[in-house]
Amino acid sequence: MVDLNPAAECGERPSSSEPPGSAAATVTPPTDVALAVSDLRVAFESPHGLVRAVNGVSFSIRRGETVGILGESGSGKSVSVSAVMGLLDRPPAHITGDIRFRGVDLLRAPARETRRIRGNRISMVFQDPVTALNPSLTVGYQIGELFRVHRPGTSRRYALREAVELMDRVGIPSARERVHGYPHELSGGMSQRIMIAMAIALKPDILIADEPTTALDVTVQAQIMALLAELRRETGMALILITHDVGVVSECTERVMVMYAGRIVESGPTGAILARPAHPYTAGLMSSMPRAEMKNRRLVVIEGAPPVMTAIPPGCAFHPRCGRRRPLCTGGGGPGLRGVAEERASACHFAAEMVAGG
Amino acid sequence: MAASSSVSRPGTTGEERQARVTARDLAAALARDWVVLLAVVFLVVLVAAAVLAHLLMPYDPLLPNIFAGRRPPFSETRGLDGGVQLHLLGTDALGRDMLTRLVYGARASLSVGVVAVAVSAVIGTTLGLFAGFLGGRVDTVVMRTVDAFQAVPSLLVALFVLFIIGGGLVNMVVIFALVRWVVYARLARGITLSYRESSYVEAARSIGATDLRIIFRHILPNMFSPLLVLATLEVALLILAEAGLSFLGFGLKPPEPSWGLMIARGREYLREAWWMITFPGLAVFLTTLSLNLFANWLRTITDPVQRWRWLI
Amino acid sequence: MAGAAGTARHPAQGERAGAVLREPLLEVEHLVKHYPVRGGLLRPGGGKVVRAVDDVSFVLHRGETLGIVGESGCGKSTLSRAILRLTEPTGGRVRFAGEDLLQLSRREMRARRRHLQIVFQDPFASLNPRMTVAQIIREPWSIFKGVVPRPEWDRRTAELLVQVGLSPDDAHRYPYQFSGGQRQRIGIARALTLNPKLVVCDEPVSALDVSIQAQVLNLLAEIQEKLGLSYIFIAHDLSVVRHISDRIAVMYLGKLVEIGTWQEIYETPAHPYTQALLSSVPVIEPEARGERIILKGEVPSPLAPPSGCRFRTRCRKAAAVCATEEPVLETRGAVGHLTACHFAAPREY
Repeated sequence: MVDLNPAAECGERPSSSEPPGSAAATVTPPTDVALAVSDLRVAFESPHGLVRAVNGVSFSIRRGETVGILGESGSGKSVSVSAVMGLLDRPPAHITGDIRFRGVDLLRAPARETRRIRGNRISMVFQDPVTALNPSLTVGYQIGELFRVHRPGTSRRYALREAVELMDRVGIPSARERVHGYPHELSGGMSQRIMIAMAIALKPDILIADEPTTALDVTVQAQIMALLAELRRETGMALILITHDVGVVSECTERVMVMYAGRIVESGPTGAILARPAHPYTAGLMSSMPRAEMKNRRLVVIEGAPPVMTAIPPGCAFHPRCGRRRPLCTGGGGPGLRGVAEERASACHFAAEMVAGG
Repeated sequence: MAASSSVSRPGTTGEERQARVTARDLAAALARDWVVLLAVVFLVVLVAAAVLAHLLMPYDPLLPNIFAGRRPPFSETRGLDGGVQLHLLGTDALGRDMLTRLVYGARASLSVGVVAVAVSAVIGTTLGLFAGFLGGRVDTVVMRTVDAFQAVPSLLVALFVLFIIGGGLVNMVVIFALVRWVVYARLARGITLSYRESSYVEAARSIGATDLRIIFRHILPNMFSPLLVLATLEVALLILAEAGLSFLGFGLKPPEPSWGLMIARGREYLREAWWMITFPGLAVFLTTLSLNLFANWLRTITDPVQRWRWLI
Repeated sequence: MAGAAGTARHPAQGERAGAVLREPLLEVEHLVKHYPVRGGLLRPGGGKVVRAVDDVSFVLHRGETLGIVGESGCGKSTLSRAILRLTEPTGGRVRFAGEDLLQLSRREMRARRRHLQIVFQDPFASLNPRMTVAQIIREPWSIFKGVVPRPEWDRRTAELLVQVGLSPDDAHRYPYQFSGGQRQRIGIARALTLNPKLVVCDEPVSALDVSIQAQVLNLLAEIQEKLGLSYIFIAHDLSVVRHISDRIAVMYLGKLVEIGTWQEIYETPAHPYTQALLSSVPVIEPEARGERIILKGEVPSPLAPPSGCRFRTRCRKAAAVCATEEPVLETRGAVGHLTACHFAAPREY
């Protein structure tokens, strides 16, 4: 009953022989870029004042690559992709910047055009699969609905057949019977498989997975991550994986962007970053994780708590919690994301020092 | 703000919220919402006038003056004592001052509403609390009774019973309390159920708190604001009910001044004396509207999580 | 059998081992918690029960931390509440300092609660939103009069707040004015007010961000060192449990399947479920990654658990005997700690 398949390990880890591509914000995107986001800013009106959730985020996603967005709650990682997916109501959200999918400006193009991309060319899987499914409609209907919406003229019978096939594909046993079932009959893991089935139904170029396994148990997480990796290999779609779990990032992504207080503070190849972080926040996040060698010792923690997004500290937003803080960190607009090594960028004045092992 | 905070505690500084809400904060929040402010002013004036009616009103609400019947607003008449009387809102068919009768009518309406609500709220909340907390047979008995009560239209029952035992202020209060306790019981039970399994009630149990302590210290305080909102709405409902029953002749008896009775009499003179029905009708309307507006405002302001939104 | 659980200890225990006394503080024996299934009016439950905790035994020593891991629905939270009698167990014994808690009247049990405290998972729901921090912390003192005399309340409140890393000025604030991590510190302070001997931590860090989680873990370790408490630490995060625990028990579908020191469980797990569980954890260092065992299917319903070994439906070692004979939790062959598997064997990494 157990699959002892080492290949099921999720995602392929980057190797040094991989061709160099675009490190976000440093290199002009080459032609195989599927999604390019530049200087994205999102702010929400609130009774406290303006909540600055995303503050100038730029990145690009190449076809077929797996990119992680790592950050804690409130870092802006979910809001950024929600902006890409057009999930934010404007107002209260104010969005500026540029989001381009194969040249189409997703923020400004007419809704008719963006609808053809969102949910079709780019699709998304959410953290809580149970609330993302409508409890009063059958699973099959909800999967089939995608075809009817995005491919008008699809017959009922065809949609149902496709639904069964997709459910089979994401590993739902006896899909033929379950297609007529309702979401409450499914476990969390099964519901997430349904969400994934819906996300890949129209063969998207990019799949965004927002904390897809956070609500699930670790053995189910392993199943889902293996499924995502397998689907990615088969379809060649790009995967944007949003998570707070450094372990998941390490195992499943080739490239990672670390977010803090609405900015990308570090980006580059996952292996290189985790081996030698170039930003104190990344380093702190890693040392906060209880690892085997820290047994019976105090964890090296990041002091304090993330800033309130209505009052982000001036200068480097991380400076109040940073051990490397110098007077230079506390004022001005803060360090921008600058290249520190091949394909790597960091928004820290001391990035070079950190990479060099200082 | 957060920038200047110490490294160890930046989380709390950015969103410094007031810990205690003072009467001044409430007044400030009220001042910002002029519709609710108007409603509150109206209710305060109404209550004050009702309480102080015998001091404020120079005329007798019951004494007829057949020579001064059906005078329009702002007319002057010669009273029975020979003095000149000014009738701001006119007089009724028997020559009694409308304004005076409205104010005394408010006294009747409000006391029926408030007393009946107080009695029914205490009965209903207590039963609901224990039904929810103890569960089992107690819960079944209480809630089936509630179901039975709610299966029949309460005002119809009130009307029927008042028809048999006769109207009057005390009888109305008793009947209203008996038919309306169920709404509090249902609310209190629902809230109790949602808190009974909550982890802070579990926490209270883990520090050795007794059931009574848990009920009165940890569950009951969570009910105050929804109960207050419900009670305010119920006062409005009962004022309408009192007016309705009195209008139909099952409530207060003439010559008692009552809004419902005044409307009933005014209907007969709809063509020739518009003020006789308009002013008591307006009184009922404005009072219930104000109570509803106030209840809605209370709902937001008393929620400890939402409260600060109104105070910043 | 329960006693043996405590004796199988790894020689190398790390720095804190010295603090662990060999004296048992809590002995749980054959603890059972079944929930009857409530049917509808016309469809009674048919006598069905959910076997949330089924015959669980273990020993906790003074000053020791026992981690309990398992996935959602395995019964770990129910187990903790049954031990504290926050839910009444169906059967078994819970001996605390030699006295069976389950034999006590409700009144007597309330008096014992002084020594047994709990820190909850949800830092938002576990604090009464209408009470200030000071009121929350002082409530236990007004129930257990004499633990801290009233003139001392202010001083002791301030002390406790400082101990958990808050400021004495926080006493007059309300829970909603704090972040999740700070609220969890308030919950820890409340658990410490009565100087308990045992604190049950039910997923105390799983609602917190990684950076905050580490702060709270450090705090819990610090407090244990200072006060010599025993912890039962329940979590689904295996790295968190490894970090804080001296010994670890693994639960599956209401049963303990394996129990041992942290080295035994993490370095030489012998139950196939423990092995699969550990291999599922994403690891940062590529070189530390073992072969991943992906479990097939889902956890069966606790209403109708499989006969024999409850894990057999998903187990790679399952054989005929597993369906007929329930494996007992005991030491087996080369395995030095307790496992409930007919084919228990340390996994080769």
